[in-house]
Amino acid sequence: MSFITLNNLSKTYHTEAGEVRALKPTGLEIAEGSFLGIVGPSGSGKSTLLTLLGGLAKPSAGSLLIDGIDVYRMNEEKRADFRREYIGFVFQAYNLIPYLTAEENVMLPLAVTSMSSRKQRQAALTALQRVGLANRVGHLPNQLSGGEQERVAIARALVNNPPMILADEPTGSLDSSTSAEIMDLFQELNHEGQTILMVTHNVENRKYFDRVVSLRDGCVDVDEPKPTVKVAATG
Amino acid sequence: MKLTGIAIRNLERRKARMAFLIVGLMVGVATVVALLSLTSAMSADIQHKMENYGANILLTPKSNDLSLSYGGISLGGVSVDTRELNQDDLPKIETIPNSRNISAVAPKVLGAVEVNGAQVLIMGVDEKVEFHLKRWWSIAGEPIGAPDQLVAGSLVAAKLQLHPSDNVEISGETFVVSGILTETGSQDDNLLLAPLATAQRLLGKEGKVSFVEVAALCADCPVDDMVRQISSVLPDVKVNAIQQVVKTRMHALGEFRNFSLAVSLVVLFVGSLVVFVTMMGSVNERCHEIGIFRALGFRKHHVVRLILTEAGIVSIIAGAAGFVFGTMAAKGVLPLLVENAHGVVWNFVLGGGSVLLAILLGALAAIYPALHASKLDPADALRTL
Repeated sequence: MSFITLNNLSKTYHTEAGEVRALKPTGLEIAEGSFLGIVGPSGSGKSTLLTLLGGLAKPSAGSLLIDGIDVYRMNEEKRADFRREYIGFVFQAYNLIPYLTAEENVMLPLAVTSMSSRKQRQAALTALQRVGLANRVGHLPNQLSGGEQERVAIARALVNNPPMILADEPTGSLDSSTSAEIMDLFQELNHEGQTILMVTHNVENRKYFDRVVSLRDGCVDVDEPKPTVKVAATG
Repeated sequence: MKLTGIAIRNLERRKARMAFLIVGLMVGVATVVALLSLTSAMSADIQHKMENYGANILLTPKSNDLSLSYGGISLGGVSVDTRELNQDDLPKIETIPNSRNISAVAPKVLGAVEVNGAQVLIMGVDEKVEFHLKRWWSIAGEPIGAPDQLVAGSLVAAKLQLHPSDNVEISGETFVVSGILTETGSQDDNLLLAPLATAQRLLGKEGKVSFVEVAALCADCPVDDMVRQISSVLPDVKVNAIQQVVKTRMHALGEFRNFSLAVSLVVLFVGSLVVFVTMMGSVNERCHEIGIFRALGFRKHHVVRLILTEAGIVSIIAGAAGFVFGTMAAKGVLPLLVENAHGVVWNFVLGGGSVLLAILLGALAAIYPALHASKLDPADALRTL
């Protein structure tokens, strides 16, 4: 059974200029432990797909099952809990909170849990050690390099041990050697069993994925799956 | 790390915004504290002065005649009322329901005596009560300390060439002038003060008193009720409240209090508006950040609590600072409004109230921005996803 199932998931935005069908009805099954790359030109629906996979915006139609849970049948608050438990986000441009140190940024998903501050700190340190930043815990984001900020963002995505990580252009702002380091880190995590879904423009990153879904005009254009993964693009 | 920790870090980082919020709210609280402290100090001052004012209820014999004096000018002989009160009736005053509000009952007997060939008005008084009541009296020499001692008013002393320790003869008896009353500018300057029993004996009015002054004046004393109560226990006595001056001052103070309230409300409204606008601006500026919080699993109420915690921290600081600055301002201004005032004290109940008021206003001003923040769509707020 697949870990993530999209059943005719679609998203239409209503603007003053009219309807924009950002994602046409799409079916997709993704196995646990996948390292899936989502690629495509601007406006192809990549970000919309990632937003829907992250439980951040309601689809216009269709359903999304993650670990057997129908994500969009939950109310907004339950979905917030779900995101905290199930999804680690690595945003474009890091999206660290500027007034919090690296350690505090990593602790952020735990701040609204019942975990004690001491345990939060331990978990944050473990995550920062995992990404090789144990010596930068007290630094503010503006005191860190781009690569270091990206690592802090990855540590934040890992801190509560979520079953899946969604990454949006994580190497978009990095030079090629730092990009390679970050992609190596993602690959290591994937080899440890972490499911990772990543949107990227960078063709260099394709080699890290074990499956690539290419979108065009809101539809799955090309899918290069592993033999065990079934794809059904209906859009 | 908890929500409070995030709120504190944000405030630490955005010092200028925090300072602006604190000042906005602090000015409002300080104004309220200053005006409350001032009105409270002025009320206390009036109360203190009223308590030192002396008598404010006057008991005189009931008369069916119309008064034949006006503006202090009396038609000679006609205005001298020969009626008197019975001294034995006076203990009844102590039986009225509001007797605990009575601080002194000062009976007096009045009459004319001849001293060194001149007619002088003598007033017999209960010396201990009288000198306690008339605290503004200043005596050169000693107050009355024995039945054969007198105190002379300044005009009487000047006319009769009297000095402390001089002897005077009245109706064949010799008295010692123990002291001279320093000029008061009132009718007291024309008096010769004697012990009540002595004056009664000299005037042949044993057991009689001409009038009685009752001191009961304090800010919240029910003087009108007391007048009625005394009238009921002493039906043959005319009881009048001397409270015109007090009423005028209390009325003025009441108007000042109303004015203070209006100013306070306006300043507090403006202060709250500053908090509202700043918090709203802050929320709009932090859309992206709030989007991150929501994406990372913060519920709506977590966002509301975060914003309200920030407002709460700012409010506590503003409330405490407003209390300190308001009290200091009142201390500075009070001497300009009231002479010889007792001063503004550090009222820590008011301090607690200031902090609570600031928290209430801060919360009211921040609740809409907080709710607005919690309703932001995480995807819209992030935009990058």
